[in-house]
Amino acid sequence: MWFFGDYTASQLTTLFDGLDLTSDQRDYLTDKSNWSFIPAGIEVYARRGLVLGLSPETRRVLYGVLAQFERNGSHYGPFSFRAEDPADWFANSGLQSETVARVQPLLYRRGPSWLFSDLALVLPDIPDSAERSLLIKTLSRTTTQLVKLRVFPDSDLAALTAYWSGGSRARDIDPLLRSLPKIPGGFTLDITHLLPSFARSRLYTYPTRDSGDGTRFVDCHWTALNFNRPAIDHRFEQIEAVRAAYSSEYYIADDEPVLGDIFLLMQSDGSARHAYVHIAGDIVFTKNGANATSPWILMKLADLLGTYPSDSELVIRHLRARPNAPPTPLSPD
Amino acid sequence: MTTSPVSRLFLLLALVTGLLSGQTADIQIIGPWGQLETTRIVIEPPDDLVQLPAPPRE
Repeated sequence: MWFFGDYTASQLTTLFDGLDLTSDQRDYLTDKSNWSFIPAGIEVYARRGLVLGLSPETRRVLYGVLAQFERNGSHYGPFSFRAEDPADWFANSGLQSETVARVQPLLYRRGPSWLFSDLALVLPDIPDSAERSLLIKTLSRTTTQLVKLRVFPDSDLAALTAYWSGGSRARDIDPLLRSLPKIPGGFTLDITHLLPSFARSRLYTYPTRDSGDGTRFVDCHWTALNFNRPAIDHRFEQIEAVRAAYSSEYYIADDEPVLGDIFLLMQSDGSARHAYVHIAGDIVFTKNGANATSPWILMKLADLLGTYPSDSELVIRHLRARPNAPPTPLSPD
Repeated sequence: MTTSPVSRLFLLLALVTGLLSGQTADIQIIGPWGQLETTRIVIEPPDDLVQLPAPPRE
């Protein structure tokens, strides 16, 4: 079922008329007996054969529209992989060639990434459970960045400590940074060692189903708001506490971002589609989705932004923690 | 998000450094944070997180 939020019949017909469809596909999609008019918009029952037969360009355009509505889960949060060649997504995966042949024609392009939204259509055709698991594992592959800091004998240690301490962790960082210029020729240090403990312990890992800290719903907001905290704040599993924290503990900054600043990708309806944490340069710390197969990673900002539909009007909001911000009010429960 | 002249200079330095090096895996990003080198890697979830949402078609 495809959901088109707040669409009128006229708008939906115009959308379908503008797509490169076969006559059969067009006849089916513009036949209002295949539509359901609901208060929130229009739902269209998309036949399996029709979906599988969409041209790559039509799939790209249509899925870009569907991606605007959270109700279309597999389009709103598709599998994605940053690569020029889609074959790279499956390289050395061990998948059977028949499986790759089923999936690859259904990939579509957005920015620097290839996306896939049709797992539910493909899985029933794969009889072997191990092969199905391997496909999901492969589709869940994530590109990320290892980031290292070069420290030279003449590096400005005070400046480095000032930046990477975020103004509050100099005591933790200074001993390590001071040791590096003494190494002849300098040293290359993975920046994981310079991040707050929350990020340091989670970077390049996946949530556990029964993690020791009891987390149940860990998404981008939970990640961004806990980034600088010495202990996990579980209230950020609730969106109400997230909203309260953004409004009471952060202010909108308009200068150069610093380590730990939060950026929100705001949708036209005022909701935040995504949150990420600024690290340095064009490197950000992010968890792209609440699902367990989404790890905590470092990404280049352009790669992250490229995974969102270009025709959705996302506004970037730059937040910084208020000094001595009051804690988020406790929820009644 | 604003981009100051200083920031643009850093981005230009990063671009030039990346182009001159001829590398695609490592790019230097220079700024008040020091000099960063990045390497793109691919990770995939552990087996225990892989779900099977649908049975095979009969």
